[in-house]
Amino acid sequence: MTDHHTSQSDESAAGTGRRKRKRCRRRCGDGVCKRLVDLDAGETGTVERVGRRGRRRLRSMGVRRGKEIKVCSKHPFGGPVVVDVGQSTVSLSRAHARDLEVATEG
Amino acid sequence: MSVPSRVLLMRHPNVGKSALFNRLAGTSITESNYPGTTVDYTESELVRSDGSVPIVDVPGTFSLSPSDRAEAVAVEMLEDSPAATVVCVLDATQIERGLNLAVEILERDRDVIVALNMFDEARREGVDIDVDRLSELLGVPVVPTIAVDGTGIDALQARLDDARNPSVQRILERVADEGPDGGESEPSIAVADPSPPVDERTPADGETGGDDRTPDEDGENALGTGQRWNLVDAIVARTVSYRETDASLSDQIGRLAVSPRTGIPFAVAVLYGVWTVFSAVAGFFTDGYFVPLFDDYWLPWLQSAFPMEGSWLYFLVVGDPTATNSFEAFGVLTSGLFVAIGVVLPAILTLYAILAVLEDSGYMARLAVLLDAAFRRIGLDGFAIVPMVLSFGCNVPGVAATRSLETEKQRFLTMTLLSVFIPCGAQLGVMLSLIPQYTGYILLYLLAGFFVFGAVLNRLVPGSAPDIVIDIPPMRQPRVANVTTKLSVRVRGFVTTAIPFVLLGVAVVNVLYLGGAVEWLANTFRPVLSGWFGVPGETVPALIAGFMRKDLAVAQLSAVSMTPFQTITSVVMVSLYFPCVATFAMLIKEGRESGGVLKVLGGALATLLAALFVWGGLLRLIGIALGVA
Repeated sequence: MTDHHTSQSDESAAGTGRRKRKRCRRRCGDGVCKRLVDLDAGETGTVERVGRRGRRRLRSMGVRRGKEIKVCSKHPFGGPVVVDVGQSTVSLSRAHARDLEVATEG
Repeated sequence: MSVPSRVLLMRHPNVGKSALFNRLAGTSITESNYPGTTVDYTESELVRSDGSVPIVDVPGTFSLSPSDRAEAVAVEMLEDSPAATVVCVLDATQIERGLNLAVEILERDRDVIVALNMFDEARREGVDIDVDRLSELLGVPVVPTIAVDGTGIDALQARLDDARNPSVQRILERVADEGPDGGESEPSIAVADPSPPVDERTPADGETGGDDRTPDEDGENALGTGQRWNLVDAIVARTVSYRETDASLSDQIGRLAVSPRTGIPFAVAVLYGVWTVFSAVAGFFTDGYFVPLFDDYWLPWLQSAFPMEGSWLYFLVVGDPTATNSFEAFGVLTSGLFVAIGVVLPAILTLYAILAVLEDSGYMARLAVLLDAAFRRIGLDGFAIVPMVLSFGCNVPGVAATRSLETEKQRFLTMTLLSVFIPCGAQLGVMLSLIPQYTGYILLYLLAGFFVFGAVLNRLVPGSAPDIVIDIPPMRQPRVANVTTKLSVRVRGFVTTAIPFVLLGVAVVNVLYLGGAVEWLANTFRPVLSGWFGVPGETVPALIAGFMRKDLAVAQLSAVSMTPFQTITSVVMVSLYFPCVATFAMLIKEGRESGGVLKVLGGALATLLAALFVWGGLLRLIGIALGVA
């Protein structure tokens, strides 16, 4: 778990939006790194990176790196993504969910 | 520690919903506006054996680096009272993020005592907290409480003087010394390091950017966000254990209510249920008690007992001496009193009770999530549901609630749409009493207008809706005590502000009648009224009354002889056209905070004129098409 952290921070230091998206498809940690928005309802993962968008609010609500995250539901027509993190349930906009990276099993 | 000079209750939004405050506070609870802002807070006196101290319910905040205006006020209130004792109210079921706030407050060098609220619920949900150990690690008293039934409140009161202000460095050391609980793996090594802990994320990662801290708090006691969370994780690892429990019924309902497939039918059912209960209960009191009381006893008695029949005073106070029902007499003490007490009060009471239950159950947040996508189409977001639903009670608190929206565009859009399209509870009450068979359709027509004009305004007004994060609290059974407290505050507000307006409204209309102004206005506006809307000029008095009170205006319409479709059209017109005086005043007040009075009022008036003529005219076209106009 430790070495991928370093490689990640190296990359995101130079990362632009496009590069981040690309990086999402490569393997990270013991799983695959995906954007939260690409997870289906019911899928789980571990928060890898909380994007700059709304980060302050999300982190104060407990959405932060290393936490287990589960997608409860995704609302249609570009609606919000509802997730379980820790003991809390939080609804993120699609833009937030695109900007949040999650390590998943498969 | 000495006796506190002032007590601040700090918490997350939604935590305990001020139940704890109500337990601690004396009887004189006052709601105030934080100077220079539009954020409200509640204040009272905490009665102690040796006198009383002010106690303030600070607006809920997730952290001390504010991300909205209510949070900014919370931080400012903390900063303005350096000597205050802070009661940090944590939701024991979500202890992690509560501790995050608690640690952040400790970093600001305040005397702190922690109330672990909803302790019973946490235990039921499998969250076991070692209170003594937590207290030891934090170095402050920790008191388990159950605000809804009063458990732990006395203990909290008794230990207020023990509030402490430990340095965060000491907490870090204590946590490091104690070692993790039961040999479990250490969640973070950062805090075990005696030197100032370093977050594992490097600044280059962008995760510990300066945006998390303001420069003046970077004292030796301040932690970065990452460090703070590491400390919280370490404390949790040493004091909290989680057991697996089955999802409770309310958990399952809460889950179903927020998934799109089940949530939307659920929402339709809830809203329909609310409507049914509202109309049934309000009608029960109005038709069952107040109509007979006023029509059979009060009206005939006043008509015969009031002296000087035929004088202007009689006309003003009693109205028509031959009227047989209280709607049509139209005197201050006949129709005025009847509308205010007999019709509007039961309606408002019922609606406020339903709203309080909805708020306290945690359902509003779910409704906000479900409606977010729809509201985004009209430039708003899910949070707009709160002012919208409140407006069904009364437009005034609805407009006031737009304060919580983030951008000027959203505030303008919401307050304009609300004041134009949402009929208030008082008006609905009168509608239900006079034209129950059409009320539902009129409501739907107005709601459709809300979204159509919202979509148009969204195009016209520059700006975008920000992305929002909605915290979804667990579904909880609303407590009677909480609901009644809320209800009594709101009803008291209604009785003191609205009833005088209703009586004054009747008086103004009657004076205009006596002076001949109503006749003149009716003649002047007749071409527009009958030409464009297809309603008789006799609706003018109602439109005048509508300036004062919408409920009164609808009551006044009942005295005009019209076809059913004309009645519907005129009721829709009364709804769309000028907001009542109280809402108008609120628009001016809030407009000042949202881009200037002229801009807001100008925009709102232009919208309402457009809405009145387009939406009112369209209704007539629909009527013509259906062959009923």
